[in-house]
Amino acid sequence: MSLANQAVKQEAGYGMNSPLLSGLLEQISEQDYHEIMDVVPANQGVIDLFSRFRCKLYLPGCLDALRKLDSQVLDTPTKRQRALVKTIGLYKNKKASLDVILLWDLPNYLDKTILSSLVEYLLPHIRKQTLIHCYIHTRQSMPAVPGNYRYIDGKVYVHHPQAETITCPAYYQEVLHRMMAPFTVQRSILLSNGLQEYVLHTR
Amino acid sequence: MIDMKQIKENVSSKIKNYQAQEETDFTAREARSFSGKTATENRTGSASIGASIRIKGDVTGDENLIIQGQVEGTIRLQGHNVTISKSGKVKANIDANQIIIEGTLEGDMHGDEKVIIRETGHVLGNIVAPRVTLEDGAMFKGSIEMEPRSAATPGKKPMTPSMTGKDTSELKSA
Repeated sequence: MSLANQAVKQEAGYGMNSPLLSGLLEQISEQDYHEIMDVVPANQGVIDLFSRFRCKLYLPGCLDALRKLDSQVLDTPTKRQRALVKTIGLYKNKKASLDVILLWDLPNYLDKTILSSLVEYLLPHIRKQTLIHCYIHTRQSMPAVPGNYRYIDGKVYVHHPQAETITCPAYYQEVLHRMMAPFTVQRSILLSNGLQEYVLHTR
Repeated sequence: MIDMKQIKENVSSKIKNYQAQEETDFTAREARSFSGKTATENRTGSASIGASIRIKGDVTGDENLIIQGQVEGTIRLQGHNVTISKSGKVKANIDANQIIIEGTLEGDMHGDEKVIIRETGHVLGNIVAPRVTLEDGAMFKGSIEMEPRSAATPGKKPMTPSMTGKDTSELKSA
């Protein structure tokens, strides 16, 4: 077993500090109203996390569906946007105006075209201050499927449902900028487990 | 010689026995079709839409409701509880005090007290309620608003003051 594979296996089910996410959550005022989207499957942990805020929480539960989108099949912008409308939908709420978008490690599992289309799809729903939070794997391999993430008492608990690994696309900042334009990196930290934590904003 | 009086008594007795058996069977069926608490609620006076019943239209009333069948339209039971049991399939917006989903719902919910989606629940829609419980295994796609915008301080405030302007010096070098 390669060192990279060993490292990934050690990652299965653990808690980690996520300073940028903690900072981002601290920035959410408990007095003001916010709209937040989280792409992980809806769970009580997410609801508990945001229940202290005055917010509307969008839980499109679209992780698996987004991963299945194939830019070879969806070979035009129109086809991709239609697929994204069907997948995310924002549930008939065309007025959704998102302050925070939590992608966790989803960007690692989308092909570049689909990721760009996703950002494009979200553009009508973002504001000048909208922030995107995500993790990018930086090692040679990464878990075969996105992890289940839960934020509890200042720590992020990660569980990888499968032990298998796949080659990591290892997106660097420049690539991320291209794929996620108009979002650019506001802050970034390399975590000890090889995840690069990002907060992106629009300039 | 035929004793008509005796025959009438025998028939009457058999009918009573049959009716008693029917009532016992119905109670047993009803108890089996609900789970614990819900069954108790039903016995204490909730209205029930049976598994074979299909309703299209508006449902309103002044008592708790248990849905085992199919409903399409709107459900308004303000101050009362709505339970969609495992076999229930509902395509409707629901306005009630407490909403419990064990079956399938496609529609928006407004719960004055709380919304509970049980592990067998499957929901596509938006929730407005002060408390929301999502049991492990439950499927939910939509939005949750625990304190609607109108109840919150009006307007939105940028949430970036101390985040903006930070550099990216901690970036991993490519």
